[in-house]
Amino acid sequence: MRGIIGWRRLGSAVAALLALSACASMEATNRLQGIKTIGIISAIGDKFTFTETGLTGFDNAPHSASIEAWGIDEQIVAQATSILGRNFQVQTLSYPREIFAALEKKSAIPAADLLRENPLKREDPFKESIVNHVSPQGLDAYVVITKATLKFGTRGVPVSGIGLINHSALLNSSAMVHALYVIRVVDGHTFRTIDKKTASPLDNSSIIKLTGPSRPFDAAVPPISDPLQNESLKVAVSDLINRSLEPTLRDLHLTTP
Amino acid sequence: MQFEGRAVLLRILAAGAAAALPAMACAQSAQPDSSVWTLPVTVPSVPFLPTPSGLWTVTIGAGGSFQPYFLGGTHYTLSPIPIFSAQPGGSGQHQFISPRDSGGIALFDAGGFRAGPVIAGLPARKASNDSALNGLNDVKSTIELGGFVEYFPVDWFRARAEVRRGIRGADGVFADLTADAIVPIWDRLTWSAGPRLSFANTHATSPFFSIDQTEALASGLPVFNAGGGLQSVGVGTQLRYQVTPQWEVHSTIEYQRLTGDAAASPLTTQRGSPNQTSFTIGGSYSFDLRVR
Repeated sequence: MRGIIGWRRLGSAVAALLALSACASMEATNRLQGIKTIGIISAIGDKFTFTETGLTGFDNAPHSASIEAWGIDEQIVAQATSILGRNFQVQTLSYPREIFAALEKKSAIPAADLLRENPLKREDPFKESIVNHVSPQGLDAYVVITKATLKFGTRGVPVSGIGLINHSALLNSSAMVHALYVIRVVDGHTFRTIDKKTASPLDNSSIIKLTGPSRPFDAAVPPISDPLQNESLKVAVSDLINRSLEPTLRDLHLTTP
Repeated sequence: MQFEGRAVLLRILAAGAAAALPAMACAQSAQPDSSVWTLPVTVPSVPFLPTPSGLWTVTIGAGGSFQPYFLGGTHYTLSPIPIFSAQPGGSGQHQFISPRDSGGIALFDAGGFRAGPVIAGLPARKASNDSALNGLNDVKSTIELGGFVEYFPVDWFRARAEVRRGIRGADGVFADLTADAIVPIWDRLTWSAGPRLSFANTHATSPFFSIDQTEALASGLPVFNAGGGLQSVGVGTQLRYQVTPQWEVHSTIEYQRLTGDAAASPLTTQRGSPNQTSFTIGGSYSFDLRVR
């Protein structure tokens, strides 16, 4: 008798899982239906960060320098507009970049980051920023591109946005330039985040791995105070964004292969 | 015997790998870039959570652990160790893990400090598996639950403390203090090494090292009541070599010298040894999997 009850429970559990799976699948396809007008916000191109890892001294805090003159955000908006324009009507937005650049702060308690954008919470920082600072309102969706922060190295040093990691080993050292960002699709009527994706690495061909768009950088590391003087850094960053933006938008189902 | 605990955890991970492998077997290379595999079906998503679509890095591998069957023993056994992980792009990199670490999650992570819960396990000790245990009672497997805190003042040094409470076989408290210097020799090769201290209270020590009247009669060993305290001191070292961007091999050696009542137990002095060494070797392969 106990065996029969056990099998019934197992059957019920399987049926419930199948029903849940069916609902979940419908949710995946329904998320982006009905979107016709889209606006794009980009806020990752304000500064360049230098990070030291490996055999470092005790004073190894990251250093930053402004790269606004590179116009990275304008490049991203133009490229995303070109890609999304195939399927949507893309409208130009007016927004204060610094407000969105400040949103991607990591908590010391990783689980708190999951709760921070809980759609059941009333105070979603992205919702507040779009409602209060972006015009025009009333579009079907807003594509918001902000800095991603990833952990790198043996102790998990946080690296964020655009920058360069210099990794020192006993016998050699290597440098890697990165452009780390996350794309959110926010419903333009409810301001709920429909989906989000962190840009993935471009390939699996580097010995030193960062799980976002990055590539080795062979040129001598430029003076920390002025990355603007190093044209090859700008070319490397532009290349990373050029190659990673469309795959990430594809992962969000905003464009097709 | 912490390696054996990890072996239990790794078996759980192996079950996950076994569940994932059929899906991976269905994968096909549909991308121009042949290094990326693509799942041919749309994976369901859960409302309010990001969809699972995107690039995942999957790591599969295997290794082996060669160590005494029981703590204090001298007969070595070889145990297979499966290796499996799957992490989405942008989820961060695997940080340094010592072979002595229990499985855990960092709930706090800032400024080089990390802290969170851990889980480990000790397999059952059965007299039928080692003649040195003849006449002694079996010890059930133990699940250890607890917490860890670790600190990296720099990239190349880590200090870590773990405290765990055993459930079932050894119903006591275990604690480990470890430190590791982590030296990148060059970008492909990393070497780490450092000291280890292990503590266990009486309830955690007694099941493995005490000998009661019945066991004494059956085994011929004298009666012994093992108490808690510093159980072992030791050192460990680990070498990791990235052969290619996809292939990695690693090996570890951990030595511990039993101390206190663990070393004084007749089981150790008459049928075993206070010198305990374990070796592991393994290799893994990583590849990218795109989920639609």
